[in-house]
Amino acid sequence: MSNSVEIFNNEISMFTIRGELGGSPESTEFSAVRQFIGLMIDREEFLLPIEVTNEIIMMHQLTFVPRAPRFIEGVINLRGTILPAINLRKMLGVPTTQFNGQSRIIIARCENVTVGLIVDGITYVVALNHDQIQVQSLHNKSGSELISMISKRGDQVNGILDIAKILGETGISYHEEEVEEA
Amino acid sequence: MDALVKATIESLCKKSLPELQEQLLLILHSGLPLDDSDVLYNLGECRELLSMLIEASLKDLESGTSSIQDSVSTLDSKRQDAKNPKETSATPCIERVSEDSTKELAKIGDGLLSDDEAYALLAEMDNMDPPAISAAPANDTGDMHEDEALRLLAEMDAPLPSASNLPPAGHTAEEHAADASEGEDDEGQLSEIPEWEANEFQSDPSMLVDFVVNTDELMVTLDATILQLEQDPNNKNIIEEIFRSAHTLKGAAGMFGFKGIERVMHRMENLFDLIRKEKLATDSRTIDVVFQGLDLLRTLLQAIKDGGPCGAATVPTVKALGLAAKGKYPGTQAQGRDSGGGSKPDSLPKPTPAHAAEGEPKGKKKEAKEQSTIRVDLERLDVLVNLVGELVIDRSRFASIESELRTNYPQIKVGSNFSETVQLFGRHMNEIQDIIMKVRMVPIGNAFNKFTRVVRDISRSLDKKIDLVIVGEDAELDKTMVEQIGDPLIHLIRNCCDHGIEMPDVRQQKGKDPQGTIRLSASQEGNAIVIKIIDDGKGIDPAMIRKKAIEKGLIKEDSNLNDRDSLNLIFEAGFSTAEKVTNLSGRGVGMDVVKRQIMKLKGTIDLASVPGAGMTVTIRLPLTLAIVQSLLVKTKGETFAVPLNSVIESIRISPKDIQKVGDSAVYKLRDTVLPLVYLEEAMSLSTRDDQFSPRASRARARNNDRLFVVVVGHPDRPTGIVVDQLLNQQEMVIKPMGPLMRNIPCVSGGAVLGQGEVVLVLDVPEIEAMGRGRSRFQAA
Repeated sequence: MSNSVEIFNNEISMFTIRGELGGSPESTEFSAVRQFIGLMIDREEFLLPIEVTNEIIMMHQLTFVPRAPRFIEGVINLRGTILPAINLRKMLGVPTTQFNGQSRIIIARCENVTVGLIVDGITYVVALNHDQIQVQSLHNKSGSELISMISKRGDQVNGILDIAKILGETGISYHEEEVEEA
Repeated sequence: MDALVKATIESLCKKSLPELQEQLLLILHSGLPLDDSDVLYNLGECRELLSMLIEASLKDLESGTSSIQDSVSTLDSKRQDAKNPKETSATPCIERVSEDSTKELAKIGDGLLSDDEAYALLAEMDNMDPPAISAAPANDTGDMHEDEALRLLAEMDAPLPSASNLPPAGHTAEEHAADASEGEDDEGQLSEIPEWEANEFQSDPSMLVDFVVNTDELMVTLDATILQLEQDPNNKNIIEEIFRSAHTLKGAAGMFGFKGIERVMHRMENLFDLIRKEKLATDSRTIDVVFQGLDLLRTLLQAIKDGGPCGAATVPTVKALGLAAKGKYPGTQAQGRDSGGGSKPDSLPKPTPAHAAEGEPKGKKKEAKEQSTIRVDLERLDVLVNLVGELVIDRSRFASIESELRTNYPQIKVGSNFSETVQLFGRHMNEIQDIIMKVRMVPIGNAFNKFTRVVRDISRSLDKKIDLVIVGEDAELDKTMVEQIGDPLIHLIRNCCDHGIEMPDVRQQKGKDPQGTIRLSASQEGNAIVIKIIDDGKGIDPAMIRKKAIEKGLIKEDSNLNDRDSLNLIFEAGFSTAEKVTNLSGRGVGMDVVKRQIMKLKGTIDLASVPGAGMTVTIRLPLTLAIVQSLLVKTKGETFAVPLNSVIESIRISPKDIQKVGDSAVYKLRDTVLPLVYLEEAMSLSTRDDQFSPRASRARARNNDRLFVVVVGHPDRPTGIVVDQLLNQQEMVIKPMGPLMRNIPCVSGGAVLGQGEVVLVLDVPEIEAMGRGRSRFQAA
């Protein structure tokens, strides 16, 4: 936790709240507004829909799992439940670094699967109007597509991560197994 | 004569007659009209006795009839007399009927009466009673003539000797009954005759359990629906529902030969049929009678559960139900009396309590035990077990915190207090854990018992003679395991019946007993249950299996397998040796499914056979899956847990003792050659370092002066897992790691340790397969 400070300058802290938290006149129309969690991966900000996130926890003790899909960094113990943790850096094709004091694990769920997503930091919660969101999938270098929408806030453009695609990227069918042997 | 009837006669003679006498005396002395219900109840009992005796005499015409007839006629007259004081108006009629019935009875004695006639007679008696009931209250207010009462008393004295004659009378009949055998001369024993000896179905415990469970459910449904009906008397759906439940219950009881229940249910069904057809209105009186019937049913069911005979007091309720069905008697009665609607509940509330009191002494011991058990929803229990699992983890965390405190901060004053508390907590936790595990344990016999029927059915359909011997059904196993072991066992037993046991003539030619035997046994060995299925059939020829396996491409032609490995090939997917597909087996899915199911329960399955002499399947299962003792090992800085139930021993060896056979490493442990699996290779741990090379790591291992080997697997064919370090032994709860981590090789799950870190639990069978696979394929 000590060596983290130089990597991230202080203005990007999870306690800083930027943007308007539902305070803008447009956002009074509730249905039109979606909330997102801003997260950092290698100095770039991504957004994750708030409805798929359960909670954000501090970096945990990870247990390495041999022969697991390569994005899976290991498993964590979340109050007695064992969850796999996916390293988003690996998945986005960004060189991996040591985790530091800013690193967080976002507990996210999709259908019946709950996973931890390891990110370099959390920025803030942002509320977006639907006209600030553009449906647009983007490929990353390795050809996988984790971003299904893009947010436009003034000049700032951020990718919105799609949890289903992240899970799909692990290459494991996570759907309920119906074929539990005949 | 069946046991139920005997028991009934017995209890009637013992109980109701003296009671009746007492009550009549009471009426005589005080003229209390309140006792009506009791008297009616006992009159009902007498009538029941009468009908039973008639039945008995029908069944046993050749002898003993005269004494029975005597008793019946005295009883009959006594009964009639008993009514007399209160039925001045109805007397002539009753006397006539009674005369008739005595005549009829005389005919019975001569063996002239057909069943139909007897029933007609009984029906007549039925008809005779209602006026008695209706007359009785009417006379309550009237004066009871003293001389009449005196006459009654005098006559009461006369029937009593005859009442005491009754048991011998029943006895006479019984002597001639075909299967009345074991020392039932003693009257006391008569009442102890277990009821389910009367019927083949009742001897099958699992069927009986099914019956009891089903009826319990039906009773709950009935209770609930009838309550609904009371709220909403005209709801057709509810009535239909009740009718169906009653019918099902009646059918089931009839099949099992529980005549008491069947009769009550029959009347109840009739009642609801009438309600259904709108011939009868539902009001609180009807509902009361129905509930009375349900209470009686519950008593009867309890008797079945206790294994005692059904109580005999079905009559008043049956009668009440019958009356309610006829509708007119209680109805007219109610109108005739000023008290109105209250008449029915008033006149018949006593029978059930009276009967309950009667049933008590018989099943006292069992009842005491029954009261100390409680049915718990399994889901709740699972939650509890999970919580205890969490507490076990907490305990180890506490323990580790405590030891850290003690070693690192000895200056802290509260230390000793804290240590003490932690130790106490640990001890209590141990106890809780023990108990909670025992709570989930059920005898494996629950799974075994249904096989008797399976084997019987199969042997009939195959024209084979097969005897199933079950041994050790008391061995206890976790409930979920018992539930899940059933299917694989059925598969195996079917296989034994279908493929193993030969036709009787073939067996005779071979000089075997034409009746084949399958032995199903369970026993506890340490932390595991060993289930064995042994048949004395034709067995399996390993050579044939090998040939088949080569044909199907499961193994290479040049594979050099020993007999045992060959035999166990039949557990591979897509292997079936049956020449033709029958409805029992031969679909080629049997054995591999069996193996997978056993593996899922963390068990192992092994097969041995002597061609021509039979086959033995051995299944080893851990006692419980919830909390397991595990050995923590460390390799390359990573900690893993090995479930202790698969660990045979841990040894320390010197690297130079490791020998190489082909590419695989083995170690000669005492007299067996132990194939070794390097955990770091199995887990691909070396890939974490960039300079991965198994040889390099092995070379490094060899440079160590010592290595630890955890010997796992079946004692006959162990495998050694080479690890860097042995840590400690700990209790842990194995948890699934979620759908994403389902298919990690050699890992069966995760567990949380004291410090909150996750440790991976090794899948021993997979590691074993790895070790064997290596030696098998690479030796070839």
